[in-house]
Amino acid sequence: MKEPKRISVFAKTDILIIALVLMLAAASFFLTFKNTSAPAYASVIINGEKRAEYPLDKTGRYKISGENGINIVLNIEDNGVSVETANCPDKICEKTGRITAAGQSIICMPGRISVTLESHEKVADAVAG
Amino acid sequence: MKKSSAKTVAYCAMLCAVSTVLSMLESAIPAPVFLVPGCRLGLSNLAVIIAIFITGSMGAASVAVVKSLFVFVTRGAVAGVMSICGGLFSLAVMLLLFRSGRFGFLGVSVASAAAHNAAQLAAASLLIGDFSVLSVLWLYLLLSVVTGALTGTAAGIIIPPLGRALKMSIYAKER
Repeated sequence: MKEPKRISVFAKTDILIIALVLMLAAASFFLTFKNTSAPAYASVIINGEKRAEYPLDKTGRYKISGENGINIVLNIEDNGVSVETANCPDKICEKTGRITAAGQSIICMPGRISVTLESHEKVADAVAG
Repeated sequence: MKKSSAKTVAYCAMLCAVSTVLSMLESAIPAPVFLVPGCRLGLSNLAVIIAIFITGSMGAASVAVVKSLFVFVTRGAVAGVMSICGGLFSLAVMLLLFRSGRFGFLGVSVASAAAHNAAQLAAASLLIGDFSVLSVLWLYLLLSVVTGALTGTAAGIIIPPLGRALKMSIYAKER
C-alpha cells in the first residue's frame, strides 16, 4: 500500500503551471496587438449586431443605447475612445479608460455593448468573412 | 464523498455562507487596488477549495453554484451566467489537478484563477456576440498568477489545520 501524497502549499511542479499561464498570457497579448497599424474607427457592437462605426479623426460625443436600458456616452478625441458616462451599476466601461490601439476594446456587459478600435485592413476581413 | 451525510450537508451550507460573505467583502475592496476594471481577488474561491477537501467534489460544486446564485441575485443575470461558467470550469480544473497529486495549493489555485477568468471572458464574448472581449484575456491571465498565488497560499495555510481540527486527512487521492 502506497501512502497517498500530502498536498503542500507550493510544489516545484507549480512552476510549470505558472509558466504555462504566463505563456498563454504572452500568446494572447501578441494575438491582440499583432495589428500594429493605427486604428481608423471605433466599431460598436450590441448583442452581436454591428450598430455603428465612428471615425477616430473626428472629435465627438456619441450616445449609445444598449440592452436593458443601459446608455453610455462615447467620447472620441485624439484618435482614442473612452466612455464618458454610463448608467450601469458597475461602471467597468468607464474605469477601462481611454483606448488607443487597434484591437483594444471597451466592454459594457450589462448593456451587451462592445466598442472596438479597428484599422482599415480589418474592413476587408469583415467583408470577406 | 461516499454518502451525503447530515454532517456533509452542514459543512456545505456553512461553506456556502462563507463564500457569500467573502465575495461581499471582496466587492468592498475598491477596484483601483487591482488597476484592472472588474478584476477580483477570488477570495470566495477559498470556500470552494475548502469544500473540495472536507465535503468532496459534489459539495464543492454545490458551493460554486450557490456562490453564482448569489451573484445572480445581487448583480444580475449577466454577471450570474459569467460567474457560473467561471466557477464550474475552474472547479473542474482544480479537481483534476488536486487528484493528480502532483501540484501544490499555489499552482492549482493559479490554474484555477486562469481557468475562471478565461471561462468568464468566453461566456462574456458569447453573451455580447463579439469576440473583441477576448482582447483583455492577456491581462486577466497575467493577473490570475497574482490572485491565484495569493488565494492559493491562503488555502495552503488554512486547510491543513482545518483538516486536523475536523479530524480529516488532507490527501491528494483520498476522494
